Amino acid sequence: MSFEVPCGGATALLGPNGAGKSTTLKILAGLLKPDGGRASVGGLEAGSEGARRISGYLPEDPEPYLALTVRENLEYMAALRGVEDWGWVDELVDALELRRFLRYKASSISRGIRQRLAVAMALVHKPRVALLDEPLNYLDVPSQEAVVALLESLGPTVLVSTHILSVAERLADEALIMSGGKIVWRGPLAEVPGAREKGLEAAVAEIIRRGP
Amino acid sequence: MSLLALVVKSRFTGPYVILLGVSTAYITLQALLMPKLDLAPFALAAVSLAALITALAVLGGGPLVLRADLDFLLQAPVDRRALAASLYAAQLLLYWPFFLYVISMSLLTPYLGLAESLAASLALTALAVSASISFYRLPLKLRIPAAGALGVWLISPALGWPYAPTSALLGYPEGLVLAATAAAALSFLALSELEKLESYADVRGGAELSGGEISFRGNGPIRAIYMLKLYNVSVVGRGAWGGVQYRTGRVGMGKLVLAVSAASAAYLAASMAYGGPIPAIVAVFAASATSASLMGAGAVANERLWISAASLGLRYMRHMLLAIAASAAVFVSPLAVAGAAAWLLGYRYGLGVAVAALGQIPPFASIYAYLFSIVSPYQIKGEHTWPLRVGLRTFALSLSAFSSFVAGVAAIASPAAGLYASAVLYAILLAISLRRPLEKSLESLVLNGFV
Repeated sequence: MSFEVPCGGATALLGPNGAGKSTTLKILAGLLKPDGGRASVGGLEAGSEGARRISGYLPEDPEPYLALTVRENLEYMAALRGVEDWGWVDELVDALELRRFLRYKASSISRGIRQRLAVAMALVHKPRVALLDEPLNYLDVPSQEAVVALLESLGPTVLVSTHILSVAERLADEALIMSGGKIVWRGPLAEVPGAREKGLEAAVAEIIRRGP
Repeated sequence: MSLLALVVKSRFTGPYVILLGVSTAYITLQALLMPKLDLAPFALAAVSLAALITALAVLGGGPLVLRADLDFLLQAPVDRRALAASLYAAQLLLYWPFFLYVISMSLLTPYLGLAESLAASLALTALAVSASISFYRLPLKLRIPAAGALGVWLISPALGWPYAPTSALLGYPEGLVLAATAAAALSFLALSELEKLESYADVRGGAELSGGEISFRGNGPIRAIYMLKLYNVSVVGRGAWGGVQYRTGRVGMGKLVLAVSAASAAYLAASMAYGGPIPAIVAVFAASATSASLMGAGAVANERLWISAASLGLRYMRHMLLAIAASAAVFVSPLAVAGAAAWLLGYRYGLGVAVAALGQIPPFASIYAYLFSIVSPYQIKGEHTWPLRVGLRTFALSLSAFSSFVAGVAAIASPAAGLYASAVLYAILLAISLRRPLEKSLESLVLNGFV
């Protein structure tokens, strides 16, 4: 597969379970090495120090350090990222409504609050490229809106993996539909063939079923 | 297939069960064929080991109930008593390998015949399993003194007190009676606990406020890594002996150093009072086992690699391994001081204890943490614990733990040999901090769903 996301653009990776969406994100985040080919982030080799510096990765079902508090998790990640703008960290805390949980252990907070914390940890260094795997999982509607607003205000290049079409519509300008490790369709979701007649979900399912 | 067979099959691999059977048969045969040796230290080591295993089981154990049991098994129309009994029997199988060590040591001594030794070991295994389940609901603040009191009681026969279950290993009939009675009483509690499986489905209470916090503000990345490991020691339930869920906690380094200081003072007193190598061996074994279980369980496999390795890559993992060694060095340092003091006071094995404490335990803690990260993919988050997934790598892990203990004993026998073993262990630590081994560890964790 071969694709690129334009600077400042937002693309959604769609596809069935096992299509390779999360693996693609892990390769771009430098956590896995590709068997072959080349992956780069902002023109830098994926996994290189430069690429790591400019990107922020959020996996599916992320877990913070459970023995640390919400504040410690955020500060630890900020320190690892060399963040000097602590005012921004405070803004992040307020934007994601984490302030009243700061002193709570991460093991004892709910899944939704843990997801908000994970989003904050992934964005704590204002990444230029955000690699997000199901970022709105577990979030209530106001929290989903807070994450969307945060991404809009930061304006990073976004690559989001999801199988929920409404999330893709909310976060991305265009979609890459994957099946069997290959891209089978690319374009704005509004232009998915057959979407108007059958509905978006049915049309996307049809493309996936047809395969590469 | 019977319920017991199903429960066992859902928890253990075939090779694990076969290995248990073969090991038990081998040890039994060895006991029948080998002449008895008059080695009192082996019997005392068996008592100490049984006490340590039981205390650790109370401290960090719990019922061997998997998440899949809560999600699926509870819905099945099975008799709850039969299910509780099957779960209990499966947990006996989990603990049996640890007590095989105890049996193998006690069988070499002249105190017990084969039948008494097997009976004592079975009763002590049941006692450990029952205590681990019965005390599971207690908050950690109560479990710590409970584990301590039980451990002291069980180790007391090593100091001449016969009225404890472990005195059965020294041939006291009252010990066997006490072991059987205590195991039976606690088994009753444990089985009734296992009948209340539904209550495990939601064990989490409300959000929990933390006490003292660390401030990472104004620190660079490398300093932050060392702060994380030097201010606190994380304790993670996943590496424990079974358990309902993934549990985490942390102990402040100050408190840990205080606890180790108290234990080291006890070691110093014992070495002065009794002489001989046993206090030194017990101290080194306890320190090795504790540091490995603390640092192994709370280390690489439990790192949040999705953000830490994504931020700093292999550099993060390298510093984390070194920080683990530094952390272990800090909390075992009281033992090194006590060893050196004992040596200066004329206890010849004290120097070896000091060498083992600073030369071997810190690099071993890191090596164990690394190996744990390779083995951990056998676990599923919050599910299996490593003894259940037996493979070559699991053996490597066990072998490394055993080798470290042997190296510690070598240091006690000869500090020069201990220094040599330390140099080898530090060289291994540096070797696993190189790019390739770290890549292997990261890949193993990422590919197996730890990120």
